[in-house]
Amino acid sequence: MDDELFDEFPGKRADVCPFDPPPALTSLRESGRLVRVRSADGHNPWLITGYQDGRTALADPAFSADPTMPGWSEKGDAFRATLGTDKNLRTMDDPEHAAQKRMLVQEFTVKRLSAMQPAIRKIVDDRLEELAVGPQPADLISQFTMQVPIVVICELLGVPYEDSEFFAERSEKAIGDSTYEEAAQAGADLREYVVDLVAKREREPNDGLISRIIAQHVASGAMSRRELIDTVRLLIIAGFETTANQLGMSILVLLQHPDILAEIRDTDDEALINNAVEELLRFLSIVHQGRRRVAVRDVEVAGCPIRAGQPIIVAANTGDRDPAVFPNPDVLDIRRPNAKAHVAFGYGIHQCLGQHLSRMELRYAIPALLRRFPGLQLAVPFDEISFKEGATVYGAATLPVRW
Amino acid sequence: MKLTVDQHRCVSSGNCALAMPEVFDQRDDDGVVVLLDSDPPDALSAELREAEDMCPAQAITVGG
Repeated sequence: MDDELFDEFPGKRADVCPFDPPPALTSLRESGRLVRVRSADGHNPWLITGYQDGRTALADPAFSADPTMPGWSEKGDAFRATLGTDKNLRTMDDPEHAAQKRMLVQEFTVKRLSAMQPAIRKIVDDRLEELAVGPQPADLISQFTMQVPIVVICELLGVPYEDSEFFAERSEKAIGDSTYEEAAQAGADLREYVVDLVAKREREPNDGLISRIIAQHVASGAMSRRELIDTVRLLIIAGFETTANQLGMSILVLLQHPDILAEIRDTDDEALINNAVEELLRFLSIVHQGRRRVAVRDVEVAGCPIRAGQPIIVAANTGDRDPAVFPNPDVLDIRRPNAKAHVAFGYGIHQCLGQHLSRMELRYAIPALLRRFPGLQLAVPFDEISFKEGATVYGAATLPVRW
Repeated sequence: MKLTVDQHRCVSSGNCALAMPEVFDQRDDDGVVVLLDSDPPDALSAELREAEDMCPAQAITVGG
């Protein structure tokens, strides 16, 4: 059976439960087996679906995150065309990774980000006000869940909001369900934009992240200009799509669970809201294409030998529904004691740099939206909502609502 | 109870500082963990075990 290849990754979700991982992946996790996924490049990565096995692999330096390593298997054409050759935090291994991370992480510490709280509140409140005075039905995705993290990332990076339409469209193409040519063009457009942006910040520094990194690390030679450019492009591409989809899917799943929605809307218990956000991250675990690595030496995962040069995919969405860790995993339980043990942000040295920024946005935006519009409801039947099956990050394409 | 952190393993995720700001902090310049209390009360043991389990770099050790 060793030669049998698995054809269903990332797989199709059941029509009736768009919030749950595809049944084929869940069966695989239940079987405890590792299988190899058929990939267009012929490298056929091993697929790891269990929570503990996934964490073990992601924390093991026997696996590299560098797409230039022999045997690497890329997510798809779009990814290969755009982010595949980047040299930044996402693609570096230690010790290079640690050095790079030290230069960036000061911008993303819990304390540092808490200074952005008032700005985030204002950004959310402004969007809610715009929605309130606008026509109904409104599309929550394009008018709220995308807008909030885009404005936040503009603020953080020190990028003009006027540019956001340009980079949002390119970002979507760069990692979405695009052809190689479309993605390559979008990636090249973004690179050109970031090259100009960095040059501009070199001439005219402002109080954003790009200017600070230039002053502190590029000027001294600790970070190369190319690394800065690849990093900024990554922060733009990865900086809002994830939070935007998590926010949209959270609202949608809450609309399907009116009791829980009412509880989040009506509580003033901050700890409950925080735990609800962690449970929504666990339950939805939207990075449905998994995390990719390649073995740099022979290693064993779940009793299965993986040879040097063989790639792996760690599926977080099945890990986050693993009943060995989360009892009744398919139930959305905002009081779940270990909700925050999820791997929605990944695990190991590459765990999401922006996770606390994302949390801050979700913790404020979800209850704020529900309180502003207590009568919030879908403006179309639930089964008319379509989902981005082929994208790197799972989410609803549009979310027509009224209130 | 005894609590130690390994600053060389730490990957500055900040999960511990977010969960238990009374016990863990992050260095301003690189986000590496700083222990504010190396002998926290036993009453915190469940939360500390959780922080130990959640650390993506396995840099926290609860013992004793």
